[in-house]
Amino acid sequence: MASCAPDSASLESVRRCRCIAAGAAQWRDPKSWVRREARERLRDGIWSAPVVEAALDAVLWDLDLARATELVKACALQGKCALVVLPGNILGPAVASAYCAAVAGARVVLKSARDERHLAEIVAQQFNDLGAPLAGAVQARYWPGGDAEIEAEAFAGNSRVIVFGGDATIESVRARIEPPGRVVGFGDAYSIGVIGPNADMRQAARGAAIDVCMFDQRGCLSPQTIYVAGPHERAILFGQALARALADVDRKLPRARPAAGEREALADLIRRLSASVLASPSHGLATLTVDRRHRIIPSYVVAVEPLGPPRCTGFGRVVSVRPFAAIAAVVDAVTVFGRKLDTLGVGGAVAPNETRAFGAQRVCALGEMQRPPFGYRPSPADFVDRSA
Amino acid sequence: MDAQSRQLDDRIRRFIARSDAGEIGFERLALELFAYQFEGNEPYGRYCRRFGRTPANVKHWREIPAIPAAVFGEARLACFPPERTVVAFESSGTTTGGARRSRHELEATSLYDASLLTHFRACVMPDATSMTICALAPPFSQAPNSSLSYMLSKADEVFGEPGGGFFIRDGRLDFEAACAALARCRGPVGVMGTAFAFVHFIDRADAAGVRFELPLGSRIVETGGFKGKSRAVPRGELYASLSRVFGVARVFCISEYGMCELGSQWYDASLADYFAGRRPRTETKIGPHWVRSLVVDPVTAEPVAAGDAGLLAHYDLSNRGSVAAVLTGDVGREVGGGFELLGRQRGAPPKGCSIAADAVLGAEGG
Repeated sequence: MASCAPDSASLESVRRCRCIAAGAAQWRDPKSWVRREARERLRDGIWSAPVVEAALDAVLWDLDLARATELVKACALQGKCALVVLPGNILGPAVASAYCAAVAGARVVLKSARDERHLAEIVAQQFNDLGAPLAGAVQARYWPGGDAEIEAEAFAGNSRVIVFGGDATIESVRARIEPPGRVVGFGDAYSIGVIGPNADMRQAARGAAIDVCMFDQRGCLSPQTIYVAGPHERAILFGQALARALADVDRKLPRARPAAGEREALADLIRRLSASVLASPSHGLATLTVDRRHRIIPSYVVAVEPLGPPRCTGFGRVVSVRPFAAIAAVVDAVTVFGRKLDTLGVGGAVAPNETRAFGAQRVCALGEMQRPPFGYRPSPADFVDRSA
Repeated sequence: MDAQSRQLDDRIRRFIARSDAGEIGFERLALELFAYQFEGNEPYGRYCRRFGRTPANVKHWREIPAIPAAVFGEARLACFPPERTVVAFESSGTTTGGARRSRHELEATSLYDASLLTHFRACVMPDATSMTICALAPPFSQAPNSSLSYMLSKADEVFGEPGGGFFIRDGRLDFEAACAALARCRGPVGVMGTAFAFVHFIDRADAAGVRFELPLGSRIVETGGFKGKSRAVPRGELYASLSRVFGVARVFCISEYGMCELGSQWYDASLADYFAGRRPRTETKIGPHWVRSLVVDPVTAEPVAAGDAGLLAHYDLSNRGSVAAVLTGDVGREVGGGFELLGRQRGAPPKGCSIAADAVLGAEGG
């Protein structure tokens, strides 16, 4: 008679899924010990406390038991060991990477960036606390970049190397790893927003402001430029609405401490924008809004410019707003990105065939750009050793 | 060209030609040019209005708003329609993150020529009326958007003796042809090119064991920096190598500073000082009398205290057809009679995923 008892592999999968779901729930719970620990240790970091909370709220927002079970089944626990070189510009990839590795059944070394080393340590501690089979699966490490000996050892000891970084960095890592296919790179990428002709301007502006204020335009998912359907006047009105929304959201999600050189870079950018923005219409609505409530540095800058390629500032809550008459013209303007268009944030109704024409990796509503689903970047599949 | 533009060009050319041109003449022309560009250059006029500066309230050249050089890549800054453009100089910058190459259009070259030739003669050839010019750059005919190639071609056309030439062909250094030309020179020769090209030449010369003893009075003019194309070499090391490979004294090795957005250039003062019997200033860039430069605070764009470092803002009368007042991204400090160039303004803070670069590759340490 055949046994109905589950085999040991199935039992491990079940245990793994439960651990993953329990751990993810802790990250969603502001009262959990991981959140308290993160709050305490990131207190003196560059991000304001509300941004830290919002980032941690979002990082595993949809990873429940059902999702974990589905993903673990798909990966079939083929992961071995992986190294993740984490970015320093946003919060979240340390936690997301650890859970992707867990889903794939991989052990992972999280190599932190210079300016944020805590989340990797906390998630490693959490995995130990959760017990088998996750205990010991995450190792948090840091070394000063450029240490060839340490890097060679780290690259050699892991079957997968996942790198968040500029294209040049990723290429450099690929050049040092055999076979280069072991490297998964998340390189330079940009995101934009599009406001459809019938969008509720206030709602769209509110959503865009949240996307801008999370990580201050420093991330790949930040809407650097927002294209607005209709005549110039509509883009100017959206710019006004966005400035008001940014002022409001700024009170809830204060901007990061200015980085070295940011004041100078922002001053230079504001001067440049002064020449490129649309002329103010006769009724005097500003086409360049610079927040002047703070003495040290503006909290946000909104510039309404003519239709053209996206402006990708990448810092300082700077948003370029550009009008368009036909969506094909925006698609054309965005071709400068090539395949580097990451997320398209949409306000109002834009036809699916029109959003598809952009070739973005992801399309979502404005306000959701910084809240990708679990497994978007990285993905559990990135941790699966395909050579096995 | 319309009558007003022609008349302005004529007056600026006459100002350039005067060796005794004074502050009052500069002030008058600068304010007149500001009014002309405020009206005729729409993006610049808008820029000035945004800062509340108009011809009605600007009373001194120092009050003229300087537009960031990068705007030449973002808007057409010209006082004439596109169909009147006869030449357009473009920067060699790359296009990343929406930043575009600067483009400086001219509707005539006569004023540009007067500017470049007059100061070239004063700083590069204060002792000579002509010499052989060997350029480690492509000729203008092969690089029709390069202000450097234009300058070198024009200098060769006006001051060049037979026997020289241009030795970057199809983007490659023709080392053998350059060596042959230099070896044939019996009189002073001016070897001119970018730092990038000189580094290549020196590498090839070192590899081949080639050394020159160029005729007395020969000189080296290095222009254009590295533009991110080659391994960067510290300035002192580069100049030591230039002296070693070409057999030219350090004081005869000078650097040019210019940009496609401006019609005028600056040179190290050393050669002009040497022939004037002064102590050669090797680190001081001097500009022509139709240009004024200010060192300004990067945030406020207001002048810094004398001797402090800041961004360089130039007021160049030879930029008649575009914008005379240009705020650069170059950091310098005022020194007697000119400025010392300290480097480029630190760019925007790291952005996007690229911040991880330092964590792996460690240019700044992780």
